[in-house]
Amino acid sequence: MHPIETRLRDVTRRTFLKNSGVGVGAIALSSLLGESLCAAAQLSNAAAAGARPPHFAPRAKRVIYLHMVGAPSQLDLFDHKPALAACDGKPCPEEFIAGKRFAFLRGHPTIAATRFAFQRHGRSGAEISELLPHLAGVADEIAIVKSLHTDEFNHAPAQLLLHTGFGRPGRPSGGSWVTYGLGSENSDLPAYVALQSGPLAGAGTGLWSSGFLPSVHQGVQFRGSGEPVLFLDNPKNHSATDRRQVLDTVRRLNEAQLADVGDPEIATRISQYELAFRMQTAVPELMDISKESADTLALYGAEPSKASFANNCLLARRLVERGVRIVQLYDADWDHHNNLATRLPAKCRDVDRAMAALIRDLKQRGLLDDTLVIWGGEFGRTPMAQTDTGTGAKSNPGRDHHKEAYTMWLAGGGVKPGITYGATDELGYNLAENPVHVHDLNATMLHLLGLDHERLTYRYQGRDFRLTDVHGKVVKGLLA
Amino acid sequence: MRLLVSCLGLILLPPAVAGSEPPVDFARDIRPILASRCYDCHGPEKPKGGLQLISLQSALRGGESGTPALVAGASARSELIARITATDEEDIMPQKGERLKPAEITLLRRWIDEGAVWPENQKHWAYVKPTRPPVPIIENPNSEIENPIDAFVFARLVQEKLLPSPAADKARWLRRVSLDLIGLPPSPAEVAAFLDDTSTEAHARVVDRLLASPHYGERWARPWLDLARYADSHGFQRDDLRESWPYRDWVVRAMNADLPFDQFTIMQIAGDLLPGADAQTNPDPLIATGFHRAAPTNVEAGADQEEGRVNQVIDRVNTTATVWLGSTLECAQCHNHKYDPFSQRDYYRLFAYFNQTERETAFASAKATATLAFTGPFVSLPDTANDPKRAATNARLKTIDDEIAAASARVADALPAWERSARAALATAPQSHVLKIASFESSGDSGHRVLPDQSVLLTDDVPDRDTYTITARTTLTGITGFKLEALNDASLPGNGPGRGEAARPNFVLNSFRVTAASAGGEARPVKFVRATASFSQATFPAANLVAPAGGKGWAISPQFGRDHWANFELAAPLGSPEGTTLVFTLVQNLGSGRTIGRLRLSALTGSIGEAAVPADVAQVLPIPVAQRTTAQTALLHAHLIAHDPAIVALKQSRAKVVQELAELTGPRTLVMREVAQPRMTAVLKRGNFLDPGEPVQPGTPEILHAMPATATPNRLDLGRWLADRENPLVARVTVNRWWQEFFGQGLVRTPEDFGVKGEAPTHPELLDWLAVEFVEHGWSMKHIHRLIALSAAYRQSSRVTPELLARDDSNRLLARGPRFRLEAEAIRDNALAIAGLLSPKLGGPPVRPYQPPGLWDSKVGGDRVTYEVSTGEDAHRRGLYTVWKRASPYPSFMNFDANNRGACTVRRSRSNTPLQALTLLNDPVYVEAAAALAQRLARERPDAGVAERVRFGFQLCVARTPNAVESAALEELFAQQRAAHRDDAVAWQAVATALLNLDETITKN
Repeated sequence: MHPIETRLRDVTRRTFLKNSGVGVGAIALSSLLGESLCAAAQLSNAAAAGARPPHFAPRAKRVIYLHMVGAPSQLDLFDHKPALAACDGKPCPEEFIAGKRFAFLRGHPTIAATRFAFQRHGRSGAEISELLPHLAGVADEIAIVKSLHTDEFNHAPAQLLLHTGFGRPGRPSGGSWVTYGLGSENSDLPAYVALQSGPLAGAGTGLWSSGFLPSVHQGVQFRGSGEPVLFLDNPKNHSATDRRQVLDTVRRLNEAQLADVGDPEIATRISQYELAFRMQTAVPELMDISKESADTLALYGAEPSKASFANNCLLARRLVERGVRIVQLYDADWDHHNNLATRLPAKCRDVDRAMAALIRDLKQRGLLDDTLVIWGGEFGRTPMAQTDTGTGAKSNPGRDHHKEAYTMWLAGGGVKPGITYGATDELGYNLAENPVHVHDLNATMLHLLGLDHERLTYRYQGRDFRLTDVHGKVVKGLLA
Repeated sequence: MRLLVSCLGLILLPPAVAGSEPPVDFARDIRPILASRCYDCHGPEKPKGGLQLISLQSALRGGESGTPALVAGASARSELIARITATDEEDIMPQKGERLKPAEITLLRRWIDEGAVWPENQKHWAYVKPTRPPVPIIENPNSEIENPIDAFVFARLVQEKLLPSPAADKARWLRRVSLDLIGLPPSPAEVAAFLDDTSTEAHARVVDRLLASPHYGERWARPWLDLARYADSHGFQRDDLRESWPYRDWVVRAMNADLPFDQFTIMQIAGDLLPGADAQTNPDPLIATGFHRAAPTNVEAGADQEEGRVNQVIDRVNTTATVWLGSTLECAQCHNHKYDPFSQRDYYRLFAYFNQTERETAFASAKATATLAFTGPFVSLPDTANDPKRAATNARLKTIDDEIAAASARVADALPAWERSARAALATAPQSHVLKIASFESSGDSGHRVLPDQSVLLTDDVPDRDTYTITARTTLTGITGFKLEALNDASLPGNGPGRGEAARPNFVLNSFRVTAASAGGEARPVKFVRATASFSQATFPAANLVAPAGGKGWAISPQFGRDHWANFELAAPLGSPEGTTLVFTLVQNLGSGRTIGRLRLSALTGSIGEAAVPADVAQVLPIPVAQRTTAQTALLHAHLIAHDPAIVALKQSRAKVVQELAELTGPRTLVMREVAQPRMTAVLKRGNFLDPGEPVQPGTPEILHAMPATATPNRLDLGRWLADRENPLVARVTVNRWWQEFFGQGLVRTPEDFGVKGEAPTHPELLDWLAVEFVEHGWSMKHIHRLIALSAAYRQSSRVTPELLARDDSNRLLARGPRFRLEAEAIRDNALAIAGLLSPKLGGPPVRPYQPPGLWDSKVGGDRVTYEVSTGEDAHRRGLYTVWKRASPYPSFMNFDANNRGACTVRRSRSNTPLQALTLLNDPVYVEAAAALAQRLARERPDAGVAERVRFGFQLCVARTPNAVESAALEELFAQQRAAHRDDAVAWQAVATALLNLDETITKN
């Protein structure tokens, strides 16, 4: 191995694990040109990658965010409202519709009670529907928040608001804000990874985009089939040895150029090529779940070399084990405007076992304490039935989008386990206590990671932007 | 560091004083700190603790505590200083955001110690119209002064006691200026010609050649299209493709023609309102309004259309302010601006100009209550180039129609003979009875319509997967089977029968299950023994649907665009005169919308063969010819025509020609169009469109230059006002963005914010000089570019010593030339040019260069479009022409800091990541480029040795010749690879890969 590379690797490994705040470029440069330049390089764009100190002591070091694209029905999963049964099929109260806007509901819709049974689970007595039997088994590990609310009631804007704090395109996702704030803990993998089961969400790759932050902070999608990361594999007939020879040549020329012109960006470039080379080994190793024990595979319901939510949950654990800070899972097809009675149970079967397994597995490995797990959709669903498709055709009932109240759950990473936080009114339409806006959720997530959402700012186009825009407050009641 | 010594030049004109530090200037040094770090809480609006830092008086008054914020002349006794240097978390200011930097604290201390001079009513520099400053005269300059730019830059260096860098060597300068002016590297011949040209005009000749190149507009359109957030799709969930590329091409043409910037502005803001604008005779002013039609449109089902429209108007106001005023107005959407002199009322007065254009969405059909269609106004452009082709295609269409008519007439003649045989066969032939649809359900939320022929047509968004549940009731008895028809329809992509995409309208039916319930009885699954079909795809036979194991289902590729059927034969007949309820379940879960777009179900009676006679035909046949009604005769004719192989073939050809004709329509482009009935505009309280407040009339911010009064102010007045010579901002903002393109950073380093919170210019006099020069030189972009490109400041070497790097790491003082990574599109353009692959073709519809398969296939909502890789030269067009799909942008560009064009972008970030290395090493686009470069070396240097070819390749990539170390490294790589693979081509490709991956190759040096 080339002496510079050895040095780079040793130094960067060590440095990344401490909170030095010094980027790769600075280190490479100091080794090449002497210590005097180190300080200057720190000021440059070069120092983007390494770990940076949080604002205060964090409770969570990483986040696994399970986003159910389309918005699951809280009323059939968590927010049990027996009062709905009494008026099932009757016209909803006038105040549910007066002056309100809905995506699909028109006229005077009727109330729809849940068709599913609820039971209390665990010491905490959390109410969970029969559709999530495995999750019910870990009820004492999770905090169910029944008082989420948001401002947007269409998918793409609501997904963007939840992820970026703004309902239109262009701003960085929460994951990008976190890596911008805290940097990376792994020198061989990106700090922010997105995994997908089913079609791409409506807002597209913008959900893990770095927006106006440098693209080093963008989420990198790891894929279940084909190349796990776009452009990861060497071209055909180009062996690792061939690649090493090319890289060594590139590095020699880049070093000569660095010595000649002195631009610290060249040192960064050299180190990024080495990181790319290491990623080519690290990523396939990570994605190969076949070496997991049969018990683990069974726990999740994962099957090697298949793209599924279960596999993604297992991959999420493998990623956080390796120091990846943000793992975002997207599972599609939760938008049940009709046929909710059959479609919701089918989707629950897709995710229930695996998400419960993720919690158990993190716990048994001692990772749950400092890994925050978040589950939920971009908004909730109405207590009223939707019986058409919006095209003028009738359909079996489902529920429309609902922004006033919905449920998410959190676990680990400094969240109080075994609690239910917040509540909706008798018919599950409005919030009754402890409202949690999606901005508050984001503020709380950053807080658990040791970041003050009001101090994590980035100056762009004349404004100091934040993930929480000009809103958000930390939900103290959720903190352990 | 090159420190100035005594023999060096003296400046005779301002900036006058060198020596001791100049006094702190409130406007330049202090107000920006107060505005950006304090005004969130202590500005003009709702001050925290009652403290306002907006005037000396307010600062001396202090807050509720009564302590003055400062004591003039005594920083040590000033509360302000105590708080910004406090160590206690409770006391330290600012409470929000980052701590103040030591340099900022020092400035504040010095300002207070110097007496806290705080001029009242001093307009922020950027709101005062620039005047031409005198050009400094430097005696005994240390570098050539090529033009006034250099005088300003070098005067500042004298002041800073720094020397300019020597000129870059000629090859490096030529590459730099070529990349800057046309975005492409110089060819070896151009390098040689320039190196040979020793005249004093050599540089000017190069610059003039580049400014005249048609590629100049392509290169400079790129940053403008970032401002315009130009893309080829709507954005949001229903991210369908839209056609507006003529706007992109207009930008290129306007820049090539050096269209004066004032006209360039007016046409984009309000070309539709200019006299004489006409889609056929004078389309450019209309096309130019595509600038603001590029705002994303939310067409998601259930979206609030008025909210979507208001959001677009907001986008237009904010973008206009950013692009032409360098001002961030969006704060004033909800409240008066905290730092800059813009009120909420100002905001909505600007809003009023843009509030008058048509909405871009409508309900998708007359019945729809939530599903939307994109209906934004467009114009069709002249397309004379295609006139001959259109005439020829129309002629072909007529020939086919004639043939169909003739064949149909022949069929009528053949009717009696056919009838005889059909009647004979009828005794045993099966009959089909179309089932009347009682209900239809799509699990994927598709819309549908039941057509008069009882077929079901699926409409609206295509779900990834779908299961149809169809209920029908019949009183037929002796049902021996069912027929499923998958039919064509003009509303389906490629005519269907699948819904996925026009290029491959396949479907995959995974299972076909039926239950039957007699009146009052239970529904029981029916058993099938056999399935046959009009056609089955090789590994997807219809028989799969009745096989116990199931298999993959039934599909029909490649026989798209025609009707198909499958017959399912029952194990036992069913049906009763009391009625039977049939429920059909059609599961289609392959994904990517491979679902049936129009289907019909029939019950079959009699013994099932492959040519069932429809029941209505069977009823007519026994009737003697003379007793038949006209309708009955027509029914027989129609049946015969529909099943005549020759006519079926002709109709398929006809459909293709119709498709060709449809594709021959001239290009369309999105335009602004005013509504007939003007809308009222009101201040929206807290920016909420549902909460209008005080009504406002169109108008411009009071702090800026006045607008001449007109009776009915409209967008055209606004456009003229923006491009007015009195506008203090527009010229400064514009030349500053260009400076940023050449030098990597603007003279104002916050090019999107010239307000009090923005950075002060590094060279204020130079900025004003350039702004005035720009306006007085007819708003000529090329004139300013020529000045910059020919300046000695720009010609400097980019080498940096550790000392200079420590002193000025980001080159604020311009003591060296620019050096930074190329932008995303330029990296690819450059590699393709080096490889000899780049197509020089200008303009036209977006192209689809290679990207990994599948990225567009799977998406919630919207049309499904498979990314078909462009062929021929379109595979190698400039990045400008790559299709920009907002929800799924071209991945290799995104890895290099391009943006998804969801919002106006003034500055792209410039990051340095491992994904960039992987892209250049492994993306098939770059692998192909490396292979082509290797071939080019062999082709253009056939007889050369390794050293000569390496030198040639190196020159192609970075224009200069390699030094000994560089040559040796590359030659060694060749030798290693040659030894390992015993194949010259492989070894050269490795060398080419290394060359294309050099930092210098992807950097403007």
